[in-house]
Order: sequence, then C-alpha cells, then structure tokens
Amino acid sequence: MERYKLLKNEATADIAFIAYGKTLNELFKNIAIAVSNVMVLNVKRKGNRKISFKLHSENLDYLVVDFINKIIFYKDYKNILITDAEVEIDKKLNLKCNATGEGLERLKSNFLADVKAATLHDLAVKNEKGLIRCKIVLDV
Amino acid sequence: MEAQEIRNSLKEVDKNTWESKKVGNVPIKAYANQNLLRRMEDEVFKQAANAASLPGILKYSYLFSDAHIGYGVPVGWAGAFDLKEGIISPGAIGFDINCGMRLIKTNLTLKEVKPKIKELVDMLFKMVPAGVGSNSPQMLTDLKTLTKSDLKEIAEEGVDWAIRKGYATKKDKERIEERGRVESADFSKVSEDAFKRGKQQLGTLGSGNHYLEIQVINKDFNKEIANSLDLDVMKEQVVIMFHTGSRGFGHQIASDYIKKFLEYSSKNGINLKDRQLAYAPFNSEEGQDYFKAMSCGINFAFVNRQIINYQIREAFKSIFKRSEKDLGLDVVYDVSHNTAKIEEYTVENKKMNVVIHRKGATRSFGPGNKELKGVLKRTGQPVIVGGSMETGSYLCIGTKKAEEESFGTTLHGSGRTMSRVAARSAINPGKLLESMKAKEIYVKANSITGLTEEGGSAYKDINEVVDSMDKAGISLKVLSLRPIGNIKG
Repeated sequence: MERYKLLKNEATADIAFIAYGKTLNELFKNIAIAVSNVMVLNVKRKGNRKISFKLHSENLDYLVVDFINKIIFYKDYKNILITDAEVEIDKKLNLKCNATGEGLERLKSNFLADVKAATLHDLAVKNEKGLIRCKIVLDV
Repeated sequence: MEAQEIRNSLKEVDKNTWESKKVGNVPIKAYANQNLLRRMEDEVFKQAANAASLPGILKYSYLFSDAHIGYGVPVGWAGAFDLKEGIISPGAIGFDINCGMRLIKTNLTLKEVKPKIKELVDMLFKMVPAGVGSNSPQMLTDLKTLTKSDLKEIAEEGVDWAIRKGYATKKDKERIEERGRVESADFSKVSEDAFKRGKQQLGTLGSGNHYLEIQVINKDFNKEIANSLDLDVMKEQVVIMFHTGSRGFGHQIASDYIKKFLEYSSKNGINLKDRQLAYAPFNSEEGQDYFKAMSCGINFAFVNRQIINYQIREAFKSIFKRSEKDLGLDVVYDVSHNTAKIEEYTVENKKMNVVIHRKGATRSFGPGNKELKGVLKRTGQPVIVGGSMETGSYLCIGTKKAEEESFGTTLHGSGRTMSRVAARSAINPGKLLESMKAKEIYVKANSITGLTEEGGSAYKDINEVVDSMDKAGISLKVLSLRPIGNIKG
C-alpha cells in the first residue's frame, strides 16, 4: 500500500494529494509524511526533534485540517518540520500525536514549497474495501 | 446550475467582457478574451456562482482574465457586499491576507546594473530571508525578538510603525495602498497561534510564487504616465519588484476564522455550498472580529514589504557605493491583492459603502479618485501585475471605468495553467536554468526543484491576460518589465 499519491491534474495553484491508511491512525501518520514531503523531498531524516500534541475536532474532516495546520504551526513557530508521527485517535475524535521532526535550517537546500494551510476544498475521508483514503488540497 | 450551463450562458458584452444569467443573487461578469475564457476551468464558474449566491452580494460576481480555481472562490475574483445585508468570508480573501506587489524605481540603467547583477542578487538573497519558515540568520537583529506588544503595534499601526523605527519614510507611505495602514485593525482579535507564527517572519519573502526581481523597463505603452512616475524606457531604467504577503501571521488568522465561521454556520443553520466559503454576516460579532483580525494581517503585510524594501535599499547602497538619494530608490507603488475593505461606490445611482472582497485581484482606482494624492491623482493608481520569472511583468494604471463597473478592481497576475505537481514533472530543472541563462536572467533560489513549479510554461501568457483587461478598459498598460535577476524562496 502506498502512503500517499500526489495529484497532477488538480489544484492549479497549489498541491493536492490522496493519503491512505488501513486504520485512521495510519492515515494520519501518512498525511504527516505527505505534508512533509510536499515541503522537503529527498533528504535523509534524522528525526532528532520530538513534538507531542493533542487535538479534538467536531468531525473527521475538520480533524484532518486541524492536524495539518498543527504541523504547519510548528514549522513556523518552532522551525521544526514534522516528518513522521505516531497518532492515536479515539472514537470521540480526540487525537494524540507523538511526532519526530527536523530543524528547518538543515533542510534549506531541499525546500520545495512552503505550505500555508490545509483547506477543506474537496476534502473527503472515505472507507473503501477496508482502506481509508483522504483527498487533501494544501494552499502553498 | 452546472458549471457548463453557467459557461454556456455567458453573453458577449464586448470582445473582453461577458455576462452570465443570474446565478444565485447576481450574474457573473467575466473580463477576458474568448481564448482566455475558453481555457478557464469549469470549476472557476462553479465557484463564481457559489459566490454569486452569498447574501448581500451587489451587482456581479466578478472574474478577471487571470482567474483560475481557488478555494471557496477562484483566484482572480472580486465581489462587493452590502454592509447591512452582506457577509464577510475568509475564503473570498485568501489565506495570504494582503498578499501584494511592490515596485521600486532606481536611477540606474541596465548598463550600470548588468555587470554587477550576480553580486547584487547574491547580496539580496543574503539580506532578504526566503523559503520555508524563513527564520534565518540574515534577518534584521531588531526583528528576531519581537514581543507580543511589538506585534500589536505593527498589526495596528502598519507602516507608521516602520516610519517610527526608521524602516520607512513618509514619502514611502504616500505610495502604498491605504497609505500602509488600515484603521480597522484590532490585535485583541488575533490568536496566540497567529502571534507565534508571525513573530519570526517579519521581513521575509516566503516561497511558492513569492519572489524578488530586478527588472528592466522593456516597452512603454503610455510614455506620459510612465514619465509622471519617473520611469523611462529610453534610459533602459532598472526597477525592483517583489511579491509577498502576511506570512504565517495572516495564514493563521485565516485558518482560525474559517474554523470559527464553520461553527457559526453550524450553530445558525447556514447551508454552505462550499465549506471553504464559510462566512458570517459582516455586521455580526463574529464578522466584525474577523474584519478586525484580518485588518491586522493587512497591516502586517504592509510592514513585511516595507522591511524588505529597507533591506533592498541597504543592498543597493552596499553594491553601488552610492547614496539612497543618488540611487533614486523610491517606491512607485505597493498594491494589495488579497483583502476585504470598506470602499465607497455608486450602486443604482446611490452612493454607498460596500465591503469589497478581492482575492487575487487588485484595486484599480482611476484619475481623480479621492484616495489618491499627488501625481497619482492625475495619473490614476498604479496596478502592478506580476508575471512568471521567465516572461516578465507589467505596470498598469487604474481607470474610472473600473470604479464604475467592477468596484475599482482588476487582475493581479498572469494566472496559472499547470498544477505545481504537474510542473515538477513537466519542467526540467536543467533546461529551465539554461533557458533563464539564455534570456540573461540570473536566478538565486533555495531549491532548484522548487524553481520548476514557477517556470513560465506553468502560467498563462501574461501579455494576453494584461491586454484583455486593457481592452476592457479596466486597467491600462503603462510599461512591460523584463527580469534580469530573480530570487525565489
């Protein structure tokens, strides 16, 4: 199973992708990896910075947006790009995340794009034959 | 109504102006020639129709020649709303509040700059932080440790703060839209997260389509106006153009209030056609809170561009060993293209204040407008249209017709045709660099792969896009400008 797929023919000014997971926890982990790779690709990760946070949202779509916006927040506030994340989501949509990341300065020569925000544009979390998929458009 | 049906309903007013059937509360008015119109994605019309259904929208949902798909509404869109019956929506302004363009003139000629272009671009790249996050060692020391109280002053005072701190002159202020400050800003409406994201990003360029360019005047279309603005094609005069906005500070304000407006919609039983177009009535407490927070984003962006302007002056003085006055580094103009502001217009023979949303669209005031001072009162307001790094940009001028027809609004750029992901595979980095070299454009970027997303073929033809607005009489061409040096994040 691929973690995510970038979409060529969507989001003219920005970047769209579909993330996959067998579970919600895995889907969110793969979303974190996809967002990281949209910003910085082809760099060996050390994963030496640790970040933990909790979130709660009204519904699953909003939880996806809030989760990505949290990744973006740490990028601007702490200058850390989250590159991997262990995520636990309970039935009430409480999310716990233990993430690893990299200091931005080390990644500078591999930057591709700065993500401003996650959007709700065409966002949909779907469960198809046991595989959860979510299409996301990022404003860059 | 389906997108195709809306498109088919467009009737030609003239070769560059089209009107649809009423879709929701008002029709769509599109400014573009037939070719540009045909190439706009179907979803552009669907999004413009969604906007046309918003409460209190006046006259039309406007599309400009550079329009392409956005979130909520297209980029290259404008809509004016009644203050009492209308709404305010972050999705109709954009995440990058007051993303905009600034053009600075120099007294230097191509002959003087060309031998030093590499040295100059490298120096600017060192002095103007660019790229993801953009917190970097080259940032001005005073700006590395901004407190909440500093950010409150910046967000509420705009360029007046920069004047107090020595980063701007009173003369600069006269050449900035809104004179660099909107009075509606109230920092108490801005979240802690926005402060945390913004405090390290003042004076930074960012990435994506943000850039700083050294350009030379390529061709004039209106010599009289160009000369009134101290610009002259005969001299092969060099100018500086850059494109950036309110950085993480503005992005967070937009994200915060989209969330709040979704809660507002759910609480008040509003059935949204597109969640990204969540809104609140302009006069509601929620609507006013966003307007005040968004105004902080507008002021932050004006100061952001001013700090970059300061660094540009320092770089030029250092490279050319001449004084600022001698170098003639004056602001030609600074325009916003992602805002909502209150402006006065005549609607159905009645003067009224409206809240005009512009998303990827520029104010285009004509000669005599009461907001314009000095020489601009005679010429009209400069409209800066940024193109791709390969194909050049334009300086245009606002018109009375725009004030009468499109709530004083025109295009903002060339508009993309290719997604960033598609551009990464369609444009070869090596070939792009070769092509730039052949055109004698020196480029400095953090990432060469990131550069491919901004290749000229990812954009519409800027000449056609600008020409279409010129022929429609909404903004008139003054100069075309071609790049000789470019900095990308």
